[in-house]
Amino acid sequence: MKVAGITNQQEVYVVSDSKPFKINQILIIEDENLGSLLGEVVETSSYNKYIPFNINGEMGDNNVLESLRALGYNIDENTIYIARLNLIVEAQYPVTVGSKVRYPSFDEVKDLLVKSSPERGLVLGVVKSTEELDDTIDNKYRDLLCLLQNGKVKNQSGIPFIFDIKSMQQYPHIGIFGGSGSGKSFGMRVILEEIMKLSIPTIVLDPHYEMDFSTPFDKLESKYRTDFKDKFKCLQIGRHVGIKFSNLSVRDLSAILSAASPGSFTEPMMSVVEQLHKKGDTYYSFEERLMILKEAQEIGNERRIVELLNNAVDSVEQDRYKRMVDIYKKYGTLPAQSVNGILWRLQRLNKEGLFTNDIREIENCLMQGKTAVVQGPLKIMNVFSSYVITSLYHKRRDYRDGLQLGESLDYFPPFIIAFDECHNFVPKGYDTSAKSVIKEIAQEGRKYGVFLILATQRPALLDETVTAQLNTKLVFRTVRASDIDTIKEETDITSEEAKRLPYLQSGDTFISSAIFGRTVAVRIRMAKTTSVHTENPFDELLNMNSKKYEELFKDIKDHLPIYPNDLLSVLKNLNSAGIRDIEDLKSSLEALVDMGYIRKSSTIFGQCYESAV
Amino acid sequence: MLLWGEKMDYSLLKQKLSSIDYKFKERYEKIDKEKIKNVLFDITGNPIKLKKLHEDEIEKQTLGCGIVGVDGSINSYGGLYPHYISIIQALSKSTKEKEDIILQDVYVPLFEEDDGQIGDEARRRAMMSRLEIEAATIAIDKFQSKVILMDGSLMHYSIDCSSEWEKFKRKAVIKNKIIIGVTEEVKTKDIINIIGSKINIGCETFYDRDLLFGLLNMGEMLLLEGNIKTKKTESGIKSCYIRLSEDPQVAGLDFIEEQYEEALSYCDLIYTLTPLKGRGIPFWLDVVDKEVKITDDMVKSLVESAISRDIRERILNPKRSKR
Repeated sequence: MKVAGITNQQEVYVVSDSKPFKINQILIIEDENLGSLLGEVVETSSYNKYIPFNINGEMGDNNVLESLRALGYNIDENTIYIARLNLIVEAQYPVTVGSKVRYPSFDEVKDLLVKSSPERGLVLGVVKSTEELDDTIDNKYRDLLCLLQNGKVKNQSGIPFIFDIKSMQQYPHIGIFGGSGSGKSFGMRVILEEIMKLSIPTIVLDPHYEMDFSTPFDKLESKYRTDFKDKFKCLQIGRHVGIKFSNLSVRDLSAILSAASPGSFTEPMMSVVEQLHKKGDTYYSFEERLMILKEAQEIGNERRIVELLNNAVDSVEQDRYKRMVDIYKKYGTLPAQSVNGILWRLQRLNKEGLFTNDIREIENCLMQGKTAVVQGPLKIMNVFSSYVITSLYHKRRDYRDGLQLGESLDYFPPFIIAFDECHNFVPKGYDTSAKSVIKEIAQEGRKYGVFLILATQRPALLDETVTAQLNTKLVFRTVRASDIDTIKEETDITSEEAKRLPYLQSGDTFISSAIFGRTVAVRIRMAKTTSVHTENPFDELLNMNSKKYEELFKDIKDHLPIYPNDLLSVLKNLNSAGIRDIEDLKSSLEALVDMGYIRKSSTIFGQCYESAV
Repeated sequence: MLLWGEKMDYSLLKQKLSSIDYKFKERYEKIDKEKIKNVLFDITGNPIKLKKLHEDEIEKQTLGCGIVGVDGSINSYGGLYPHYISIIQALSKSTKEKEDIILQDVYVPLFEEDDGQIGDEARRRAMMSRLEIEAATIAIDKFQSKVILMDGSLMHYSIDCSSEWEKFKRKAVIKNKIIIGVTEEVKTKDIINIIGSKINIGCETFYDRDLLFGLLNMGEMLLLEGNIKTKKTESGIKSCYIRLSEDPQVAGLDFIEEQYEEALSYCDLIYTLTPLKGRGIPFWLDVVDKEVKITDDMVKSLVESAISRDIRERILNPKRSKR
């Protein structure tokens, strides 16, 4: 390998006559004057002067090339490989043409590629095109992970990419960008697995119900597996966690109600909540007050309520109307429409289980250094996230601030918040309930040790303040031009790399991090656990169908052969619940014929179904 | 006189060219392909059909030793005669052997006899031919290959450097290495001389290639058998015409008379090694040709690094390069 052509201080061409170059490969140029220079391959090509582009030129056709091979000459040996190399550090003056180029040894690139130890950092995958370093790599960095390539498990080859989580203090927050199927969710899963390995308190907002870490990846050899069962907890909104109504301030409550239907929450509604909500209200006390007011407003005026009070038959009813009069006197002027609006919003949220629990379970998880996976539908997640993030963040902030002021408050640990589809929570251009607190954490969280991991397939739709605060970005395959533009703007990805974005393999990613100071191409390691959603829905249908008919055949088998006259009695004796009537039975039998379970033959009694097996 | 910005008028040139076109047509109309075929094949016999060889046949015929291609190149630096320097290179390249045989020399007309441009040209050519013969001689000794393909007619070696050629020929015959010259541009008039009178075509203005154009089908070879006497046979060289690719223009093969019979058996191999769509010479010679050529840039940097600047300015650099 040699430097060729015109060079400058940043960029050189390297040619080789034996080995092709790999993109992102690190090479060492031995310049007589400048010493050893590190460079990264950014573009590769190959060329054979005997097989020119011009097909009408003197190109040997295949037969001739084969014949030459029979004569002992292989034309491929004339192929030369060319790489464009960007120097990692700019040279003082242009690189000497003709300088030798070689593969580096591990020690020479260690500082460049390894920023943390496997015990302290997140082992996310291998740095691409570092396979040549396998021989010289330290034992400590060997065999840490497995890779999944085309459905096959492969052992680690190359330098592991270890994310130095400690430097998040300086360069906080991680963004994960990539289209569907690009490996984004797996990237998130791998990061979370590594975080669990380090027992870092984390809350995961999981609207897709996919971040369960209890099922190990069955293809993975057992020595590489880790049991995460004690490291995380799946918590469903409504079932395990919720918002404790009595903890809500007026502000929280209006935020939640407005989040339940963003856009349609009006000023008058806000004032209904402000006036009606009392500190320490439970859900029921607040709901009752609303219901009484609603009823009173339906009755229409105070005089009639008093009338009803006077006609009340028992003391319970009397008390009720007495309260109604009070409430009507106080709040009767509030617009009835808004009162109604608040009531049904509130009841809907309650039906979804939001107010039946609190977030103690989440707090417990964080205190124990576990990962709390909060699951729930996207809409309610949005409301819940704003509540839970705000209260957890404030807890941590209060603790830190208290420490500063010399007050002793209950300990609350630093933690990480991770969520997918983050453009729903912090969108560009409009407000959501969670947006302001997430923005605050993006800007200030570092001070308090609260960090974000945000994933999205649409970085272009993500709020810019937040995007700008993501100091590490994992960019997976991205096809949309607007997203690529955003990525180009927000990372140090070069335009050559940006051109490759639409073609990245699933699981390949560019990691652009302030910690590394440059973009590193990484193949994300194989996850140790698997999501329930990985079964192909079409496979699922196929399985379900064949299962269904298998069972049907089991039931029908005893009744075979079946003649037209038997149909009714078969239907009666059949315990298969799926068959409703004669027509259904007939079509099911036909289906079984199609699938080869039974066969049809003509007899003197008409069409007869008999076993084919 | 053209004024600045006025468009050059080419109409007169166009007229002249089309009248030339007409003249050509008139002349070549006389060539009746069928008639030529009849008359010619009567004398020479029908063309021989060649076949493409299979890989194992190739290996068998070449005894697993591959083949050798020989070619030379001339590249000049400087102005018009005699103010220039030529760099001459000859290459023998085997398909099997890793090492090539490269011979190099420099030709400087100002150091030679001052006998005009034609003499100079011949001397220069002779120098290259000699170098090629030398490279081929080394190939006979060093390479195992039985067959040596030379780029161009064998005839010109006997003209350019007859003593070296005779020596080389003897060596090849003794060592039983088959020498075949491959000519892409046939310049002979042998066939015209034989049949010209019979088809009423004067031999002054016609060449063999004009008659043979499109006459042979692909993979056909026309031998000039036995008693047919040509300039070549007088110098101990036998030859044949051959169409190796889709290109209708024929190529020529030259053999040493003593090896004629055996050499013919290699024609199938030569046909096999020629690309269908190419210009009709074996691919290996293309490879050798590419390799032996020195680029203009290379010549320039070589000369400029070795010959001092004042000499270059005084003797070699033409005024036109300063335009």
